[in-house]
Amino acid sequence: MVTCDIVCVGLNLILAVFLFWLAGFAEKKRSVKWRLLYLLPFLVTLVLVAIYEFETCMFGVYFGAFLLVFGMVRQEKKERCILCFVSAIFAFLSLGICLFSPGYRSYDYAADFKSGFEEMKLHYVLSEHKSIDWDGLYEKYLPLFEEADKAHDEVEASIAWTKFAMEFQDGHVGYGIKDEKIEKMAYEKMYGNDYGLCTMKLSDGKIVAVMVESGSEAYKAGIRNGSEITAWNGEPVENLSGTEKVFSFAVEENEEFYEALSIAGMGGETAEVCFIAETGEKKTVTLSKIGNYYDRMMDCIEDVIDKGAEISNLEWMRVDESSALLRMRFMNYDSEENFSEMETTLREEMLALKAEGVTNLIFDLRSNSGGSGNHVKHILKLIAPSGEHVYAYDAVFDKKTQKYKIDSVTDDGSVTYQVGQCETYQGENLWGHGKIIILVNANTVSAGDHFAMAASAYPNVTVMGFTHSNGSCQGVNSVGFDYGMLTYSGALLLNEDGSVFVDTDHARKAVVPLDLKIPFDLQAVSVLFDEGEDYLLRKAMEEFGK
Amino acid sequence: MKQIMKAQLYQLRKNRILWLIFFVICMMQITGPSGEMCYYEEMMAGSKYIADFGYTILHFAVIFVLLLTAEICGGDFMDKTKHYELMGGYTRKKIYFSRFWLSFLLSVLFMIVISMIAVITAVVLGGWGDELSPGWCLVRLALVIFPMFRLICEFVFLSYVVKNAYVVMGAGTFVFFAGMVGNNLIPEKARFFSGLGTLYELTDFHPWSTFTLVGEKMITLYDATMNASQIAGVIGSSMVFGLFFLWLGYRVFLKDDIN
Repeated sequence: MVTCDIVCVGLNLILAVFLFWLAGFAEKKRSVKWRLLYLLPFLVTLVLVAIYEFETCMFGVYFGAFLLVFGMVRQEKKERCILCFVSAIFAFLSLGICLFSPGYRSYDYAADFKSGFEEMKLHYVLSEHKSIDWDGLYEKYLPLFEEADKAHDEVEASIAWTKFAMEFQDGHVGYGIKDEKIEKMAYEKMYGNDYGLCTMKLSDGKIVAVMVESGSEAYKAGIRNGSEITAWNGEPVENLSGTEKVFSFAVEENEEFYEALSIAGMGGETAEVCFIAETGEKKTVTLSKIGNYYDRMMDCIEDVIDKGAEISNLEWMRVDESSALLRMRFMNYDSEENFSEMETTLREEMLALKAEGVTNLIFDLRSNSGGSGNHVKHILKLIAPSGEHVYAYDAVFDKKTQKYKIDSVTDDGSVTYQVGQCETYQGENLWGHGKIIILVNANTVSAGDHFAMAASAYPNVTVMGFTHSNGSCQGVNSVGFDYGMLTYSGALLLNEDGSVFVDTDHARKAVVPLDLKIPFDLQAVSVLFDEGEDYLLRKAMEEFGK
Repeated sequence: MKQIMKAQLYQLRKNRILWLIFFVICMMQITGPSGEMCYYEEMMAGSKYIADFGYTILHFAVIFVLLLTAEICGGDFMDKTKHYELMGGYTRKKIYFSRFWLSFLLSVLFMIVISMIAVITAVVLGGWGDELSPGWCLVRLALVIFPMFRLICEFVFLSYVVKNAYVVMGAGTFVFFAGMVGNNLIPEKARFFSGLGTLYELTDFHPWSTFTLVGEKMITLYDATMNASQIAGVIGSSMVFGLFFLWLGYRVFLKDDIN
């Protein structure tokens, strides 16, 4: 857009000079056709504006181009020359305004919020299920976008969108920032400063240091992975945990697992940290800021806690003689739509493993980002017990109201919807002889949730993880803006009784079972952060051994 | 003015090529919906066809309007009719505006006829359906008159500058098809800056889709409602640009030596 504006200004200036020269030439001609050239700047400007949108700061250029149109109908050479001169002055003025105005090419964040909000309000399928207070959200967030408008601040607008999305506690509601630079700035502002460590809450409630950077001030002061942190900037850490929302999860327990992460980002140029050293001694140290916290925090989550097996999607890994792991990063297989080729391949591979004496299977769904329900169905049928199984039901959509038809609402606010067609699959019981463990984490979402939900009902399957799976499984829609994209749940899946499939309601209790919740303890911290090993995989193997 | 308009009407009545084109366009307006709607396993509802192909329906109307305006305003330069009118004592104002008004009135009439043929065919074949609100569709159809006014003014201007009906038809058709391609490049907010963009705005029904788990079928809905600023944008931009080009064409004709 900026390039287009530069072209627009440059072209108008060149044309003004050219038309100034032409002023006398056109006068000598009987025909007015030559004077049609005075229309050229206006037409060029019109095309550029139509493609790259109107910009208030460029008004001078547009007006100057429009003025030249009168050159076509004026008789006097002098008048045409004056018009060219004035047009050039306007172009220069615009150039100055564009260079120095903070409002140049800024977006209308409040208007975008209103349109995005209205679309989501109309089509978000879990409004009743999650008891969304739309009016409250509108009143809370509109002023933030108006502030961003006044300040022409895209970072503030992006933060407002991110926080707005967090309010829904739905893994499918999120805001993606287009510009990487803006994204980095927004997250830096949201998540604070890096002092060389992260903080996590153990299952026993203690808050400990993790991801401690060796050689940092924290490390030199004696803070190690697993060191208990008792206070941060003079405030007991128990009081700080959860005060700043780091992430939003559908299941409350999952959110609590990550909430202590925000503590280690709090502070200014320095942070005062109280911790218990390896000697058992209580120490206080002042740490200097070494960067932004977001990068360290994401490394901690993505590269350590939530990291699954480092192999490709749908690739097998032999863990030992009797066990194999299938990595499921997402629920898609090339560009295939009916997944029959994938099903055949997997069947052959599983039969081959069976022939080799493998009895234990691990389906690694950690951080599975979802995909096609059809894909899930084709894998489920291989391991499901023989017979017909219900996957889920479609809800009935009313085109007139543009909403799914509600069947009943009880006094406690529970909603049931009218049930539509049922999706079923035939189980092949390919692994009835052995055990299956499904590894999940809080970022196992959407079709990943579907898989965990359905498979948890099979007698030989154990769902295992530090946390429940995400608990957000409806179809996704989106609203796009020039600078980002808002996604939300827009297609509804049901259980047989018309209740919402998988997604948690306003009580935020997990629906997808977690058969074995692995405690996040000092042993887990040591294995994950010091040894760099896969703790959950180790626990899965222990489980097979029982 | 009446005499000039009557003479033009007489000429048009005798113009067999124009009537042939009109007939072909009408046939295309019938075969278009028939082919498209019967193509799928399940018959498409009429409102869905209109939502998906509203712009195509109006395309044909615009093409005919272009030919009609070029013929009315540009044709008489070639056989020197305008010279005789001037010699006969008609003012340039009368010559210019009588042709403009005739172009405008006939264009609106033919635009309604051409687009209604497609709409009626679609509704007869598939019923109306639930995809679009008929009330808002009527509002949008009524608003089409404004961008049509603007396009006619632009064609009139072009005719008086070029003074050759066939060149206007050729250039207009080229600009028209270039505009069709260009419409996808124009951001939504900037559509009012182009006549075809404004027309596109009126036939853009903002689809929203959801899908089913069983068979992963798409359910698409369309929003036909328009807010006050959209309506004001359509009317305002069409009037401003239309009048501007009408005035410009008049100024060109007023000072031009038509020899």
